[in-house]
Amino acid sequence: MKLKPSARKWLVIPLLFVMFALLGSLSSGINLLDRAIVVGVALDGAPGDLTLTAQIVVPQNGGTASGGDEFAIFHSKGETVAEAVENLSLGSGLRASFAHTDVILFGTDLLKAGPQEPLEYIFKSDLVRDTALLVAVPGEAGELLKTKLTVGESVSYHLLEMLQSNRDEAGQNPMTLQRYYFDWFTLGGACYMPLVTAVEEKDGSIAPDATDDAYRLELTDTVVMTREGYALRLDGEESKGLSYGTKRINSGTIPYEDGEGRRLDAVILDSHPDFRAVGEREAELELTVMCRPAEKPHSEGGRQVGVLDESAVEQIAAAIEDRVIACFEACREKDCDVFGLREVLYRRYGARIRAEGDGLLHRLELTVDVHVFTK
Amino acid sequence: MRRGTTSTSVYPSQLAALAFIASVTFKVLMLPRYFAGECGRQFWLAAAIMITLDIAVFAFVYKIACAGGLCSLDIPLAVKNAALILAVVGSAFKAVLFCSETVAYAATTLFDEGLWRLVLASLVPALAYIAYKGFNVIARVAQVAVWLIGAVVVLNVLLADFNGDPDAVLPIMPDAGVISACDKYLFWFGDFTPLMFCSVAVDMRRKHAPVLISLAFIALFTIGFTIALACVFGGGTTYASFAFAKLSVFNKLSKLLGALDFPVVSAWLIMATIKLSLLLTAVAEGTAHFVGHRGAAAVIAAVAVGLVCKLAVGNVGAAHDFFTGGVRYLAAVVEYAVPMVVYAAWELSRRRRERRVCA
Repeated sequence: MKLKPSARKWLVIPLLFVMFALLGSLSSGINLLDRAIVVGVALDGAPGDLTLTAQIVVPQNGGTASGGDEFAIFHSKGETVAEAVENLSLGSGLRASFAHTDVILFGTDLLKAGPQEPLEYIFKSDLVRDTALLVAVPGEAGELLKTKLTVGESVSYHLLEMLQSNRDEAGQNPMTLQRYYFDWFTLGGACYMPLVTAVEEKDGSIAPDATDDAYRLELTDTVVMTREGYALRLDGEESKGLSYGTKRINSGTIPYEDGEGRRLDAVILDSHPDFRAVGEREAELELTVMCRPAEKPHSEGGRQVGVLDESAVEQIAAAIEDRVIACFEACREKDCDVFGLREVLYRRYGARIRAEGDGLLHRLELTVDVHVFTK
Repeated sequence: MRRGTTSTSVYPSQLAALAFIASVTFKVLMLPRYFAGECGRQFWLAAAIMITLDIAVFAFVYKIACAGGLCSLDIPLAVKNAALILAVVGSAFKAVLFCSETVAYAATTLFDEGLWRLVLASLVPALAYIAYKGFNVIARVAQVAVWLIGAVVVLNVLLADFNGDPDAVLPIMPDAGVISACDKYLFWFGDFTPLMFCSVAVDMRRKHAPVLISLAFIALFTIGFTIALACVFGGGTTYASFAFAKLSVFNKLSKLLGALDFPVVSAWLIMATIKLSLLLTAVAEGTAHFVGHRGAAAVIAAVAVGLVCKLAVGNVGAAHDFFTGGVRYLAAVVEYAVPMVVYAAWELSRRRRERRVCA
């Protein structure tokens, strides 16, 4: 039977309905109340024996367990991240959804045992977004996720706020999943992530409902890793050196002494690092820093205060240089090319640098040239 | 055009839109990841080399389209039949490859636990219908869609918020890895062969500007996209499946709205549908030249591609392994040699005719 063109046109409508029905059936049919929205994840253990701790929002009841009144903490185990994720859903009876996960915590045990396998899975599987922040935790990351904070917030959200609001400050070295992989594939292959510690603060509680055993989080140190895994922990000053060498800073202060020995602060308005290859075994960091005195300029006993004189500028430049060099030396000792200097040389001199191998870092000379401008 | 019939006649602006969509769509999905796996951060260079080659070959395809399209060319029958068979086979193979990539993308990222067989089952009827309607309809759809695509691209460029390293593309050294990548992923390039079936409207054959603009955009977009990817992910691109979705996350709006940038996804899905329909229409046109029944050929081609994807290919990994094997040289023949040979045959025939007229 041959259909008229107009009849054929009408056939399209039932065809569309069939298509919509098929597309509709693609949905697994899980409604929001049966989902566990994971806001933060902690990974501990070792490859092959992973423990996953998830801080989740349970839309069904708002959550009641530790880690904040609106949040619940669930644990699961697995040989791989995929298995741990599956077990998380099975254990909690809710479908774990990681689309809103902004923070991934790694226990140092896992970092030392080799975090590459779980990280690779997370990156390849699109489990979380590439803008998720990676954070190291001394000891058990899962324990930190359960910590009750003085600010009364969940650890995941508070950590995210800390990392986002202070990301342009020296000493804070936020690392996203995307950036981690970028660095991991460079010639040096060194990566880093900030290290968060929970500090007990019985007297300094600021939230009205904070209990005696409340903690606050500190993000002063940084963990540096090679492709093989954990390499070293940078202290606060070295972490600041890392910040100066790896990102633009437009917040925070740096101390200096005035002519009378008083300790004052300069506010950093902007800084811009620029690594350059000077020779095949010599690199230079040209660091441009713009700052202003923390105090407004005024006169005290006929003397001008709040002005950055030549001596102050020199002190600031020296302090920054010392921090960068301290970071570089600490990392070099552990064969960590944290500033990506081999990559800088490779981009200039090509395959010859690749052929030099890992030993190049020890033969390399880094000159730090800090130009401080005042405003 | 009479009611109920199809036409291969398109305007230059429509051909330009089709060329852009045909070339770009699947170069921004899995290919960067494959390329990066083969030659590291230099993958943008491989893309630049191949896209230059593609644009050069497009000149022949465009000449053929301006001459009335492959099916109506006055060339030796043996050459025409061989070209048609190769174009049909090549387009069918490409349809299988790209259909498997589209299904993988839709099933894994758009749906929570999406069943890929159902994505396929939903896609095949749509493709069959569009392929049945023919080039004229696809061209009109492409002409409309290209504005949406343009708006999405402009939006993403304006709101881009990358934490990339522009120096990551250095040093520019086309090494053996780059050449190997170009050779291995031949099936992902070419892409203009189906346009040989189109016929540029007779009164518009001197309007070349839209096509030239389209070619400029193809080069700019593909090379720009791969460079941006190299700057953001570096060597990590080798893990970045569904490249356009990965890159589109880094914009100011995504920080507020969430992980997926839906305008980009919508635009890409439209592009994928047009591209797949184009391939199936080429299969249908070529087959109809031998056996007639263009409409039936389109429906059978769509169903066959769907069945091959379901029964034989199974997943993108299998598709990758098959299409980077020895069969990849078929793509080199179909996409690069066929347009040149057909054009040469047409040019010779034309000169012979002219000589005969003069005599």
